[in-house]
Amino acid sequence: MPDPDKVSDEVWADYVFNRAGEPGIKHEWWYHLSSGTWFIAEHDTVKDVFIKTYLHQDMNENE
Amino acid sequence: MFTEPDKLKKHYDVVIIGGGGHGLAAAYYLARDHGITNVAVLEKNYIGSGGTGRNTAIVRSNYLTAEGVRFYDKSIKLFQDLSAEFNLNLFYSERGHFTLAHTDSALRTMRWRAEVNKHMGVESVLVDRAFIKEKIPEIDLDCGHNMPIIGALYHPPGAIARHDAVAWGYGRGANMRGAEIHQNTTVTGIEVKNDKVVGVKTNKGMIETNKVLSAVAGYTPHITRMVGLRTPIVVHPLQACVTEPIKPWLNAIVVSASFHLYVSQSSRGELVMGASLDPYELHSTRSTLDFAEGLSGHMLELFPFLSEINVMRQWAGLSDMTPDFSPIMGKTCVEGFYIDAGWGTWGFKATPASGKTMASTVANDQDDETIKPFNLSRFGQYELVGEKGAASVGH
Repeated sequence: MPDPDKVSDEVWADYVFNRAGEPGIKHEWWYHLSSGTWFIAEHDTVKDVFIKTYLHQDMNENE
Repeated sequence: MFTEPDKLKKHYDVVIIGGGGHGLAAAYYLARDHGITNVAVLEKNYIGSGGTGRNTAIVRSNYLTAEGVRFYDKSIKLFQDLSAEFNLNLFYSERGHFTLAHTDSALRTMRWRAEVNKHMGVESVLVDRAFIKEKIPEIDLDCGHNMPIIGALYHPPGAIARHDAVAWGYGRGANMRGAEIHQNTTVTGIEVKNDKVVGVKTNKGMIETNKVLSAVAGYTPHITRMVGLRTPIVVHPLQACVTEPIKPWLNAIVVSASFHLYVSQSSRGELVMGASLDPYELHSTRSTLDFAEGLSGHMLELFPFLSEINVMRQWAGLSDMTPDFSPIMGKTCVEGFYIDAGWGTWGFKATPASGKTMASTVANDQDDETIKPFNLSRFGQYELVGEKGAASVGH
């Protein structure tokens, strides 16, 4: 995340609003309500298939 | 309905990507209003195969922001004369549009919308339970005592139209005036030199052009990537379904944001129903049982007598969503690249106004007055147009 106090309004707006909307494998944040667990789901948005899931704590190992 | 040229020409004055309602309407108005006829509309599938043929065909202008109301009102006025203009029956049918309120907060938003609408000269009024029951006698106002209806926003000009005929009418009209429609033609790249558009690459060869209009709805991120443009657009599916045809009983268009439901009865007698966006990004037009079940449950709360009626077909379309629920239209920082996108769940009703304003924008290389608030640059300037009156938005 860019530092909002240091970057220009333009760079900040790009961070806040713009997205990579193309199809592909997205790293989505999912929340399991009953256990209060955040996890990452790697989702193929063309085939609608989940490739793998892991706890958000393990994000770095999986990327 | 129109000629099918087998070859692309070497050069066009304008190339329109996307042969849906919006792209074809832009071609039509470019030819009719601006005399620009050396135009190619490139469609990777068949015309109207995307959002144009997948929406629930509702036309209305009772939005929340002045910018939105002004734009959609322009569209509804164009729609009213379109069948005569095309000499093609669009089955444009004014039904009256009810947005039901089940909570005080929903009613408050509707009061706000009614006041904005009236101020902009659009017929829109808050009505009580007795009025709703009179116009829609079959409705269960108490919704099985789950979430009773307490009032509604009533918009008499709300209408439905045969959506694919809108694409055919615009396509034929554009073609008669000289524009070419190339189906099964996929754009594979856009040539940009010194931040100016110089050509379009397709599966049928290269085209020289200095003006490209992207009107591809749920496929916008593919196209904007070709010119290196970043946008806030993410794509979510929006599902819909129809029942078997039954005798006419529902004249009005009924929407309930709390129930994530909208329904109208087509001229064939089918109930055409939609719900809210699927909650995650997806570029597939698959259908889900979850959608059909959830929607049916809410339909039965409003209209319990439908319990024996079968759902015949369901489908999905791709919605290019923006953070403020307003479209992205007009010029961009790439010279000669014009964008007509961010049509989310509200694109069909916008077809005529979008075609007309984008044609003027492309012809004059200057954003049409009506669409200035919708330029892509609004995000960089933090001037969003918060349009909470958009369909299938819970608030």
